[in-house]
Amino acid sequence: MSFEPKIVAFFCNWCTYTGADLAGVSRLKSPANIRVIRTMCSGRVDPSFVIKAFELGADGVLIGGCHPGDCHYTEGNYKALRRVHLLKKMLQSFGIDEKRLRLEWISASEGDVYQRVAIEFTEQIRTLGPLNWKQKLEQRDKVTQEMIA
Amino acid sequence: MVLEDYKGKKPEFTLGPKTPIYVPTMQSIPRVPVIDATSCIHFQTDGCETCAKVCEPKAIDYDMKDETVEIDVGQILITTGYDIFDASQMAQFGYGRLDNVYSSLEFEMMLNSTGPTGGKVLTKSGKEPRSIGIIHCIGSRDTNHHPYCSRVCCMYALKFAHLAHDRTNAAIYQFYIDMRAFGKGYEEFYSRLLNEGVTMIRGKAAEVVEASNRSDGDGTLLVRCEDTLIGKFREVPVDMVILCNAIEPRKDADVIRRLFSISKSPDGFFLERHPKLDPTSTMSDGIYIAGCAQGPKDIPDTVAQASSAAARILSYISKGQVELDPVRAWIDEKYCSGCRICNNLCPYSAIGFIEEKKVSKVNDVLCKGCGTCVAACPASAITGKGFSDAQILAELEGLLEV
Amino acid sequence: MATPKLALYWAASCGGCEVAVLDIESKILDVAAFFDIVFWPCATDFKYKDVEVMADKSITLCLFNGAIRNSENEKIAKLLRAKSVILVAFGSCAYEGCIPALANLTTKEEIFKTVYLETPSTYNPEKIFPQPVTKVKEGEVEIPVFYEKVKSLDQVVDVDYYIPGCPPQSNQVAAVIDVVVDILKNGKPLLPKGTILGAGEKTCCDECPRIRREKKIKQFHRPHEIMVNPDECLLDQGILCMGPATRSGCGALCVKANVPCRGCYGAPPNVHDQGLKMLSALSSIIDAQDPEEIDKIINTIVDPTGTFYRFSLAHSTLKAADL
Repeated sequence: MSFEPKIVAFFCNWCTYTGADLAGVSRLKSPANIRVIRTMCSGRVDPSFVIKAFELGADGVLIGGCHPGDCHYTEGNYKALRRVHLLKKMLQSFGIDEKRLRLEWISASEGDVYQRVAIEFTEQIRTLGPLNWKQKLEQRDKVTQEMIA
Repeated sequence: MVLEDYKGKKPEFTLGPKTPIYVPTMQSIPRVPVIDATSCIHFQTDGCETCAKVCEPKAIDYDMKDETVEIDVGQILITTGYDIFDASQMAQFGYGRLDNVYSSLEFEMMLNSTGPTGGKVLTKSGKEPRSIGIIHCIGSRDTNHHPYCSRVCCMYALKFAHLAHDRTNAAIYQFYIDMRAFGKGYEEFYSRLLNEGVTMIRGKAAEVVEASNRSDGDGTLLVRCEDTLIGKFREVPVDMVILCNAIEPRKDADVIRRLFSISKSPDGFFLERHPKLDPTSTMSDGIYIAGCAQGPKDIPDTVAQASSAAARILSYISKGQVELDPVRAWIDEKYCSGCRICNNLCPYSAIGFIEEKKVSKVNDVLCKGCGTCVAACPASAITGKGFSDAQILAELEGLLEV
Repeated sequence: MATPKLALYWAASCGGCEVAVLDIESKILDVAAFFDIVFWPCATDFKYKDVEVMADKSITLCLFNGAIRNSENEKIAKLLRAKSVILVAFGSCAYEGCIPALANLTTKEEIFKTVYLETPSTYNPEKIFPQPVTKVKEGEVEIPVFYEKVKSLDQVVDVDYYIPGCPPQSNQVAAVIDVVVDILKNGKPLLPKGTILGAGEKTCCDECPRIRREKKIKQFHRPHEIMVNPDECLLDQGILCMGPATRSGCGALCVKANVPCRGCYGAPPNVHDQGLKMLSALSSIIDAQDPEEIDKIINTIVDPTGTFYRFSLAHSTLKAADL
């Protein structure tokens, strides 16, 4: 029984969300592992959301925004870009493979790109395996408690 | 009347000798005189007052002072215009150095019936030129100066040629790279010019030099160029050279920009919201741009753009209210310490800093609700209404429950 | 009213919080006069067994500083919780982990290896590591168990109040003592549980006198790398100051001394995860759009995780690295 990755996606309303919607309307088969949260702009995505997602049980996080230069709000996607770069460094410090966080530029007309990315990312996370962050922390606690006993 | 002391000075001061009380130009709006206090005798000695004595409606008041008036407005239309390129930066054309090399605006002034020559086309020595050279693209389409095309020059160069042909017997030469006659009736005008006998030399002029003086005191100028249509280098003797100076953004465009928090495009002109679909708005709501401040353009285009901006403004005014989207950001003063990290992040310049309280504040009308500032605030003092942290975290919890 | 009893304890700490208490200077005499100090390992000779025989809830106020690094720390935390009416997490270590919690970015194995094998002056060819239980001929000798990860006080016991700071500023400690005395003497109602005492409701920027302008960072500098302008915001000058993401209350002492704030007063009131908020704020103002340029600028931040979480790692979302 292979594991089904849980992937949380933050999609910007104007481009990626619409692109993913287009994929659906066009009947392009894409994995149900991608669980979408819509924000108005990829610039709204706070690194805390990404980390919280991992802490709550996500195995991967996907952020989707408009192509550079095309952001509906001019430059929100650039802020997302900068945050993701620094966040990946922090993920490494915590021992989370930075490949579990992915930033993609998908425009409203690119339903096919959404499908490709969804399939690719799901498989990539499947290969990386479950993150199970909370369980890992609890396990370490258990080890400690057993040592005391 | 002879053109005197005009070289290098701004056009409005090249009308020849001027009295301290003068009308800036005959086309000024309003067309009322002003007094230059620095040269007026009354302001130096408290005497004279001749102008007040002769003014029948008693319209002269020496005690008038400059006033600064503060007006509250909801929308601003910026039409600050352009400057022309200072051709003395291109020393090879002799502007500012050689006699009888004029900028486009200077020649425009000469042609004007209220100008220094009363509309006659005359060289510096007061004689009619035997030949005139009009050089296109001075500072435009030039990687050393402005890469863009100034749009209006080809047509006014043709206009100059037409008027000069009308008023003189001069042989007229146009040194051009391309002939941009894009508008309504423009191509037809160009054809008409060709029939009037204007000589078109396709090749950007390389330099203008002084030929040896002719015996009647006039120094002939030589325009050196490559005539690409016949594939030969040419030296064309002319008595007068008219340059088609590039249109460039005003020197203080950056000051205006910062005042209104609007952007500029790479060429330095104010940036429109969308080059095709919205050339009169800027990214900031309520601030519009029109005319050459937005980019070089001629009169019909300026009028169209300005009318469009005015119509947009009027539609807002007539509504009497502005409809706001409920999705927007709000800064809680209780938590904001005025670090100003958010100030720069807003593409709509919707976040201002209140100096007295040392907090930042979001302008509700300008905020578009993108949420970038909400994510960036290190004190979580900004709430993204409709997409708050609590709402998104609740979504996360729901999504990952199973 | 019987004389209120006061206890102070240090778990995994540096001792600075004890000094901060003493730094209230002559006010310490008032404290000694008002309270009966029943347990203070740093300054008095009471033993654990003295506390064990006390009745539950007989200690009026316990100021507990230091993080929970080992089983002894947790045992005494639980003991003092049982014996105390009011248990205060005193100082950054107890509040949110502070410097000891940075150990959560490595592992117990790595720590032991470094300490017991690899430091230059260590000679340990038999690779002897401390064990919780060691058999000797007389019986068994026990030492506390070194935990896998460091915890804050509230992650092992119920905490009533917090006083942040590394250490809490003495004037703030004095102010808190006044509040407590007022409540005890005059029967005023207790503050809501979980209240953060001795600190403000804004961020360090609120107390910082420097002039702040719009921020665009092309490069981060360490304080010794540039001539620091004493009047301008440090972050404006490219120096990484945690002030914007740090609770106010310390009087911005570091910044006034030309040193960037390190974040010791913990997360601002409305923030759950100090490190991530700082990450978001700082990355947002990086002045670059090209990914390579962004990386170049990010690389001028020395140890981002350690810098952003220097004091608050135990309270972070992820809590510890999984290595």
